[in-house]
Amino acid sequence: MRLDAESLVVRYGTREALAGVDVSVEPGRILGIIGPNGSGKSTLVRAMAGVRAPDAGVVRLDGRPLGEIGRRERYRAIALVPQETQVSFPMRVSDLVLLGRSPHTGAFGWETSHDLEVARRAMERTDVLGLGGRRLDELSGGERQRAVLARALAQEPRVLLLDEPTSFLDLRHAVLLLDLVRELATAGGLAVAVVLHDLNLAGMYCDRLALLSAGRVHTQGAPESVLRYQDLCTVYGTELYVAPNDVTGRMVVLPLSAEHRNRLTPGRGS
Amino acid sequence: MKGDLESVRRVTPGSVLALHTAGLAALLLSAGLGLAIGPVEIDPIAAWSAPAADPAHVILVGARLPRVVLGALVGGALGLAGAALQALLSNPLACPHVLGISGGAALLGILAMIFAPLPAVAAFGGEEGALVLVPLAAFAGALGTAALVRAVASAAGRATPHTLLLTGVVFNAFAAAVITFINSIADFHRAHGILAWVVGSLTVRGAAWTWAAAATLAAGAVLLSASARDLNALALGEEGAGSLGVDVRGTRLRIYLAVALLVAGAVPVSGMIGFVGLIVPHAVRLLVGSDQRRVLPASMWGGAVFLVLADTAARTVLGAIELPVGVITALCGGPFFLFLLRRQGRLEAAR
Repeated sequence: MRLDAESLVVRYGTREALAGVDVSVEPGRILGIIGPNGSGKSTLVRAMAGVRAPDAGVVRLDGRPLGEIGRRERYRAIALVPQETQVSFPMRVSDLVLLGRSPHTGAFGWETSHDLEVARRAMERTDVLGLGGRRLDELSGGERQRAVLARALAQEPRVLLLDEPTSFLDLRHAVLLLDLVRELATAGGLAVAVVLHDLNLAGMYCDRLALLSAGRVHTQGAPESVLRYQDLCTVYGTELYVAPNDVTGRMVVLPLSAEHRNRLTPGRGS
Repeated sequence: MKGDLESVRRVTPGSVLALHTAGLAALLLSAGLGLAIGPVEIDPIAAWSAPAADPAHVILVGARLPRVVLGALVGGALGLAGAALQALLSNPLACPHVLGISGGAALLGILAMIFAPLPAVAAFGGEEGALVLVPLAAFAGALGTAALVRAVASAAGRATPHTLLLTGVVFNAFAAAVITFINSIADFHRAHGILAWVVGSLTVRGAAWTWAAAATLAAGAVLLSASARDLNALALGEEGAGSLGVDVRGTRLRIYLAVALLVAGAVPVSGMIGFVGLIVPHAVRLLVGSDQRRVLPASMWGGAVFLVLADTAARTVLGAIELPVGVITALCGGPFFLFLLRRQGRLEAAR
């Protein structure tokens, strides 16, 4: 299934968090959503997931506007991994993952053995099967993020939306998680959109990037066409080092300290 | 590793039924205790079969039994309401008392109680009119307060659980002050017993009142059991629940309605008993885990057991002098609240 956001506008009070955004997510492909703080990245994925209704514009799931699709049906197709998953009560990993079956079982349903089997496979997939009886607050950041991903996979979605899934992870756990997301897209055919702060990870894992700036898409397209020195410096408002690296051939983006910014002549990099 | 998911306690209709059975058994045990113990020593088994005029029989069936039944109903309602509010707001410090809902219900309930005997109102239904009027007013007070506290809390931006609780606590203090004020100006005959509402004390007003409490408890329980699964999802926050297909607004409305029903049944016969709805769900979660399909029924039975025991203590610890049961629950609940606050602080710091 594909998910298309068309001319999305979202306002918080008088502030326009999104001022007309068009992006698309296609099966088997990963769309990376990048941009500085406050550029509307989180708002965009939340609107695409349908948890925040847009003030104008429309999100379509395989051509059908989200608003016309019932809640349960909608979230059998779309799974959202939020930026932070906090629970105020000690909840076990298995309980969290089984919550992912909610759109399938409904309010009165009891989990069937099929639901358990789907949850088990999701936990296997994200390597948290051994943590089933552990409490969420006992987990490390990496384990917790994998458990949340298992919950999303238990929904058996066709579209997976992730909001900064790597922000609390160290380098190893970040690439392990994104490796898994890549595999879910490539082998599982999921349509994926992921908000990433780290431009290097974004360049490495995503098929397409959308660079947001002040609620608008500044540029979008293949990573090499988006991760360009001039655009990035303008949007992020700081001097950067941008160059392809030897190993992946993708772009490396480095922020520069005041000391180095002063030493650099503009135009260095790409 | 295969057994890992299966080994975790699964919630099935059978396991919930077993939980109800265990809850009922625990309640019968504590009720037995409540019937056997009191300022006057009686042999409950002999007293039961004694002739109706026997003083021991009168104490057992006429005094203690109605108290125990009322304690069970009120405690069940408060435990259930607390569990539901904690789940709805994903805040372990929530309960009808802290959120001001009990205060609002008591305030309007008291006003109805005072105005019911007035000629204009009495013509409408007589003394029995109070039976309809007071719970109805309490229901309106509960629902109105829930809405008011939400509105006030969100006036400062989004209604976060913390601002909600703060607003509720303030409102409750306000309601208690107004009730005390009413107590001072109302004439002595009518004011009798009003002050007991502020601390919370089980008051047997008659079989019809007890039936009313039973009916609202049943209605609230049914309404909540239909929302148990949605409440599970709300542990992930409103947006998290929404992204699992939960109708968050509808669920919220249903929960507040159920809580208002429960409180409206409890308040006219017990006033503002605090802390039952706060403590019980926590104790219960330690025993049955965090799935609301277990937590809700277990909190109902746990609340009933707790209040029956607390009332037994209230009737006996000072010998012939009876304490309001609200004093006992507050003595248990106050320190417990501090403990929760500390633990919550550590949970948040650990994130």
